[in-house]
Amino acid sequence: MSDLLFNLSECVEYGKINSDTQYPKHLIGKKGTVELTEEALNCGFSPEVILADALIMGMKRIGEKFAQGKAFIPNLLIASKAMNAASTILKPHFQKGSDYHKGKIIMGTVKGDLHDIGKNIVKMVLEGNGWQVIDLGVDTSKEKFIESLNENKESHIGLSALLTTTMLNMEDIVNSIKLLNYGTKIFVGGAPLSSDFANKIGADGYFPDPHSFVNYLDSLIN
Amino acid sequence: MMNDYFTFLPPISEFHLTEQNIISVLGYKNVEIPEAVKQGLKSLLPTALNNAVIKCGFKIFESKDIIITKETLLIKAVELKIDKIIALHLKHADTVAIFAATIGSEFDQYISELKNKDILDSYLADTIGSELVENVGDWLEIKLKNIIGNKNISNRLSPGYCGWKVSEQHKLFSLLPPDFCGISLNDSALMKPIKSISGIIGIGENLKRLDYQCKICSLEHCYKRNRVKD
Repeated sequence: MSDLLFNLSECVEYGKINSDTQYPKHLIGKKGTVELTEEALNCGFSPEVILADALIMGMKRIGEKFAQGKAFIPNLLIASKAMNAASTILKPHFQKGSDYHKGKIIMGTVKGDLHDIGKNIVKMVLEGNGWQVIDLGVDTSKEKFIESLNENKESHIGLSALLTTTMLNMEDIVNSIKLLNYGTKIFVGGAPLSSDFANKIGADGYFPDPHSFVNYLDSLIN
Repeated sequence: MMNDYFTFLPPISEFHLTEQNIISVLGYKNVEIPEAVKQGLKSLLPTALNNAVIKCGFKIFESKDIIITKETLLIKAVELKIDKIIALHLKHADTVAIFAATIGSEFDQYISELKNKDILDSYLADTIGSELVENVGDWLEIKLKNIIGNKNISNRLSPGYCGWKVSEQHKLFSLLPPDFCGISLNDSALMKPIKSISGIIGIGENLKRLDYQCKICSLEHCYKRNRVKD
């Protein structure tokens, strides 16, 4: 990997957005993801290479630290913010018709539940890792999920709930979506949930954190 | 005293939440804390605390009004299906107090506004809110102890934890005066304001205060696990 791409990946990993960003300490005064992404483009690196070898690489490293208990949710958010800043610059440079996103995920907190911090974190990390998220917000009805899926048939679905009462609403949503026979994969998350619960309601997976969810989604396309 | 309810409006100065408290709850122990988190908390914590409007209280029931079995707690005509773990906490309780506490709808609004600006800030503010309302619960326990004298009290035991279904919130709140501390429930038993807590506390001369039984609880990703570790 070139020094430039390595430096860019490091800026993503530590969340250094631009030269004004005053963290991390060892990168103060240096260029951030915004400047380095522009520089990489000017040097002739393709957007695909910048995305894969620098931006995704930085997200991967912070994700590995998270899995090892050396980083926590704020680290993922900080890195995702830097990644998204770089992605904004990169986006217009992808060839027309090329598949910039890895795929789409329709996400929402289920009916009756107003908690969204967990969903928003997962959304941010997914986007930071190259997935497109259609966010349906909180208190989302079954009909709203189906309507969105009909408009985006190739999407996966992520259901979120924080209450043991509202997580029960997931089963009806899962059953209704499976009846459409689109082959949609449905994933669930939220504090009171478990893999057992996901299996019981016919969902395709439960993930306790955004990193493990991203890893699984990436494995579906690799 | 018994069957009376008590409500309090403690000023924020009663609570001494520090950046270090929040950093610890976020999980940072013996690992590098990102500067963005340190800087974020430094600016957010004072503002967040200014947006808290704290209300809390409890109602103590008479011993004759309660019956505790291995899985249930009967208070007057209301049967709470508290399950085995919580029943264990209430062993030797002569009576119980039902409590509720909130840091107010203003705090919900504050978090909501941050969501549209910065995801990290909104996450930090959400964590501050969760920790503050637990601190209010700690404060409330001291008030309860002052009132009951030499008796012992259990940990705070809440619907949604330790096998007690969150849907039982409706029964719990039916035992409190309407609109207690300004907290309301939706059909899903979600409390509004969102940063609110509720539950029961066992009271008894021979009651032993047990730690939360996280090792035997199936709620693997429970917020209380992080707090108990501290």
